[in-house]
Formats: sequence, C-alpha cells, structure tokens
Amino acid sequence: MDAAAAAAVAAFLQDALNSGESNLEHRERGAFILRNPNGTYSLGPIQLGSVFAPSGSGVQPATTLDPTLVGDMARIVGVIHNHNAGQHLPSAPSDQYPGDQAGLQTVVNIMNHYNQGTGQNARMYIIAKAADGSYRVSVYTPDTVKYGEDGTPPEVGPEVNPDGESCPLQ
Amino acid sequence: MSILLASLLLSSVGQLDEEVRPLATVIVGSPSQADAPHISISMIGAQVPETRREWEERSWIAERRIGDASEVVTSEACPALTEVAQAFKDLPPITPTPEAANVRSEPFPVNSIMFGGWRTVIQFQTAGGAEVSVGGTDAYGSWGSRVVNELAPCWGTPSN
Repeated sequence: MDAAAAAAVAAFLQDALNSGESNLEHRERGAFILRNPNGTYSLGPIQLGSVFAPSGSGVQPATTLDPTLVGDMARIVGVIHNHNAGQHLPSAPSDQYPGDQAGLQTVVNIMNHYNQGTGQNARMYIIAKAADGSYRVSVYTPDTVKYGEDGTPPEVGPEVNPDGESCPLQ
Repeated sequence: MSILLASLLLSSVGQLDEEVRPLATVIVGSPSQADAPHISISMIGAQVPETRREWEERSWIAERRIGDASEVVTSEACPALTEVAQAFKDLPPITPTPEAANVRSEPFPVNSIMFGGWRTVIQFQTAGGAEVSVGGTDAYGSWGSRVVNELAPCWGTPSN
C-alpha cells in the first residue's frame, strides 16, 4: 500500500499541472487507496478540494471524498491527501473541525463493514513539502493519527519510501 | 430567523420596507456551544422563487452572530453570498429516516470524508414546513463549510 501512496505524489502533481497549478501548495486534493483483486494497490479518483488560504484569513481548506465514487467500497483500504508545505501532522479535531482522524475512522468503518476486524489495517497518508523541497509522505494508523484528549498532537508519522514499489505477486 | 427579525436586520443596512425569507442557518461547531457562530442567510423578498431565473435574480442577506455580537452583509457588498445561496438550491433532496430505520438499513450507510473544513450543522425549513437540522460531512456539511469559508472575507473581522 505504501508504494501506491508514494506513487500518488506524482499523480497529484500531474493533476495539479493539468489544472494549471504548479505544485501541491495551492490546493488540497484527496483520494482513496484501493486494494485490487490481484493483491496490488491503486489510487481511486482524485477529488479536488479548496485552495489553501493565507494563514489568519479565517478560511479552512476542505476536501470532501465520497466513498461511493470508487465503485466497490469493499476495495477501500486507505486514504491520502495533501497538506500545505511543512504540515506533516494530521489536522487536529475540535468542536469546529472534524480533524483528519475522523476521516480515517470512516475508512476503518468501511473496512470493518466488509471484513470485520480489518479496520485496524486502514492507513492515512499525508503529502506535504518538506524543508528540503521534496515531498514527504507520512503514514498514520487509526491509533497514531489521534490527538490526545488534552490536544497533544501525535508524532509525525513514518515517512513512506518515495521509491517504494509494489511487492512482487506470489 | 423570523421575517420580522430579518426585516429589522435590513434596517441596519439601509434596506427598509423589504421583507426577507430565511434560507438556512449554518451553525459552526456544536449547536450546544454558547458562543458557536451562527450564519443565517435569507433572501430579500417574501415569496419563494419558483424558477431558476427568479432564484438567480434574488438578492441575499446574511447575518453572523457570535455570542452577543452581530454583523450583517448583503449580496451586493459580498458577491460570494449569492454564490453560496445559489449552491444551496442545488443540494440533493433529503429523505428523513427515523433512527430506528437504521437498524436494518441497506446498503451500508456511509458518510463522505471531509479533510479540513468546518464542522457545521445546517438548519432550514423544508418545502413542507418542517424544521430540519443536518450535520455530518455529506453535501450539506460541505455546503456549510463552504459558507463559512466564502463569506469569511465579507465580515469585518476574521471568523476564527
């Protein structure tokens, strides 16, 4: 699954270029990660969100992913979206924001519906430009995506190997 | 928001003698929160437009209340207000489902995921006169988030 997430960076960038944008720091995008019948993974349709507004503008970018758009929801095993530069952490939940952990919980619920007990294998990937100018993909599990009850942020998730490739089929 | 109250609001923006009709109220965060921002959007004119053209010709007014503070803008001063009001017209119809019906609901009911954005509750009156309140991250939730974002530059102070 990590390989599909790593490949998503190129797909998101291509989608941005097709939209007349030069990078991923202009607009939020998201997609589901799907498990194929042959055991490989692929990216669902890329869904466009809103543009990143200047800090302090009172505008919170939003991207809505409709799981029914992927067709067979039983294939959903993860979700990936991009943040603005340097924002590798999941968005924090609050009374006013659902937070990214709510998004991953939806994936957990979908997976558990089709295969009870598999939801813990759901993964969330966050793409954000790192200080060195490269795109870093951080991965979170349903446990590591959560903020503490006192608002303590989680650790930044491990980086996905940007050159990762799908495992050879058995 | 009653028509009378909305008419009083209009007086604050110099549009006396015009009635307004509530369209929807967006509550940001939890409705139980005492200072949860409320954004109420109304159309100017008491009659409900029956055609798309009549909708598009309407002017709109929005009030944002945060605690005791209130601020009003019109679609003339804030064109984004027209955009979000038009978008409300195009939201999918809602089928009321009693809670008990979810026990055996098929197919699997699942909300959309919304990354970022605002958690909102949308309140409005149906064509049949019922008062409804809609939360979640479906098309209505996305519309609520859009209202907060797109009207943000129209208010005198940032909304958060």
